[in-house]
Amino acid sequence: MNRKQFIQQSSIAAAGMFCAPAIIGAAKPETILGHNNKRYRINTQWSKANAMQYPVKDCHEMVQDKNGRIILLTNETRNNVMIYDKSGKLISSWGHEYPGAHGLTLFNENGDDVLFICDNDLHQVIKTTTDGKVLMKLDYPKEINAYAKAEEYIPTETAIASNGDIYVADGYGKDFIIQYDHKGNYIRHFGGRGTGDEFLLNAHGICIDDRDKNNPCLVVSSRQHNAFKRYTLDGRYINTISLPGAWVCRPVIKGDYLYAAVLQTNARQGEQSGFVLILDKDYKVVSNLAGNLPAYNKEMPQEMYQTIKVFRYPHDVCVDDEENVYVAQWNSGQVYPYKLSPL
Amino acid sequence: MMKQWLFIPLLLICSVGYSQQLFQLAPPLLKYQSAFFEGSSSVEIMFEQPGAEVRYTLNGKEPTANDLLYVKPLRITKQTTLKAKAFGKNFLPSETVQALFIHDGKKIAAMDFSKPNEKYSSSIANILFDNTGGLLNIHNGTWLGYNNDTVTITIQLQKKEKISSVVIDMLQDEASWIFLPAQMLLYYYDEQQQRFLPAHKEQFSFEKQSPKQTVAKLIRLKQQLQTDKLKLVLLPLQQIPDWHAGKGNHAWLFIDEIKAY
Repeated sequence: MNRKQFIQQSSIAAAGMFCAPAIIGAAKPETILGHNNKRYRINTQWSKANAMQYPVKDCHEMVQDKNGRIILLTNETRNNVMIYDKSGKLISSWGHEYPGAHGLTLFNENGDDVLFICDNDLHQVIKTTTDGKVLMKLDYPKEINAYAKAEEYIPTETAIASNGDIYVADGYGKDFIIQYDHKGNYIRHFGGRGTGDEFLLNAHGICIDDRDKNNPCLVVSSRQHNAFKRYTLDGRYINTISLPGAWVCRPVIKGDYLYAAVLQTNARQGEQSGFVLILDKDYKVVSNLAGNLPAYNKEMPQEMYQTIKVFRYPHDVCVDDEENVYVAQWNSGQVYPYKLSPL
Repeated sequence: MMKQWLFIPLLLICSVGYSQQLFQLAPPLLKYQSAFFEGSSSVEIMFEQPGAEVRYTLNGKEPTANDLLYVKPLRITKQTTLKAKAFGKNFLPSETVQALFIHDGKKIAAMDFSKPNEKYSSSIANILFDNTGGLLNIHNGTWLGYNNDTVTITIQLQKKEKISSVVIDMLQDEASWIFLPAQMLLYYYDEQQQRFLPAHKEQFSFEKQSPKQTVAKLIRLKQQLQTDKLKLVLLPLQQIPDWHAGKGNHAWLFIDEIKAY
């Protein structure tokens, strides 16, 4: 996609912003976020939860289960896990024992949904049912010499392969990806820090990219490199997807697209400069929600940055079965997730 | 722009259920190699947001929607304060971003400076007069960082000059414990008396928080000096003030360029 096409598409987006007052007669216009065929309107009041009764701290991650419910993980121990319907009604909540609740991954295991929670403070990965029963705990990987004690291991995310293998990203620890079988037996580790392309810096998120059914691979965030790095399922480095300026959190695959929350940008670090980006099947940026119009210099995206102050520090996205995007935010005034609906 | 209105009928589907918040535009990005230059410099303003545009001023005034429209990189040939702001019909205007571009001063032969903290040190001898820097990134190799009590910098000019002002570029990033110095003293070398004599003294106050920015502190001398040597003594703030999360701790001082005019 060239720059000209982007600009043509975006003029339609610009027109969209004028629609609301003309049609509805409302006082304020509606903001349309994103570019090209990935444009959304936003609802910042999606959650109907009572904040006094069901507070959140950091809203770290979200997934959708097989029943269509939206599951949110927060490090608020009054209700670590909050289960919503798609309209934002809180159905139930559980969890008081995960002070460092950070990563949330859902896997359908022989017909049953199970959750994998990464807890930064407990230095553990916990596998649970969707109603909170603990099924398995993974402690720090003693098999790896680099780890002398649990505190050095601060897992941020998991990804589960179709055979049940568990990949843990130690994104706040030593940046290794540690692969286990479905029972939790150590298989191997890779990544870690170093100076070559195959190394990681702040391996904050991981997912299985199975869009090419014959060649599934791992996509790992190397957040401080402003990049995703791809590996085979047995840990061989494939290539780097550079995303200049963007502190990408977890990659999330839905349909043909990869979505990711960008915590903040290099240009304005520590200044609530986040947005959400969407890549196509070729890992090309097609849309930035509240970010700049994507543009490329040959193969390299131009530096990305926030253009509208919609988000503060987006930390994860969840794309539901109707293509709605939910955005959970870290350190953003204890706000509940926002819901974005495609145009 | 007018053509875009033709698309309105396509967007009848706008639903009433969604909140119609008015969002603020983010500040545009100012991109330049360095705030310091010899001859000329260039600055690009980045802000690719459909429905929004960037207006700027070069006279230090706050940009309005009627000021200059940014279309292409600007060439800077003299001391200039650039202020830029994004406007869009259906957005709140952004905050203003600004940059000061500073031209080279009297030729400097050498500078001696106190040893910085190891983490923010440099092996480049002319680091404080190389016309690079003025950017917010403390890891870009242009900054010297100090967390001790006294920083002394001796400036040897290439020849005896008439000096009427001095500029010291510092970083203010209080969230990262980086403050302006508590006190700044300037001396000049007097040939007849064969010693340094005081030329200027200034205190800084820290009663309230300041935004993250580079501060090109201008010292205007009461009278012109004739000298080939200046000495600057900066006293980093020893106790971070009470309103700050790091109160009572020693503050950092970051400096990246010194000019004499």
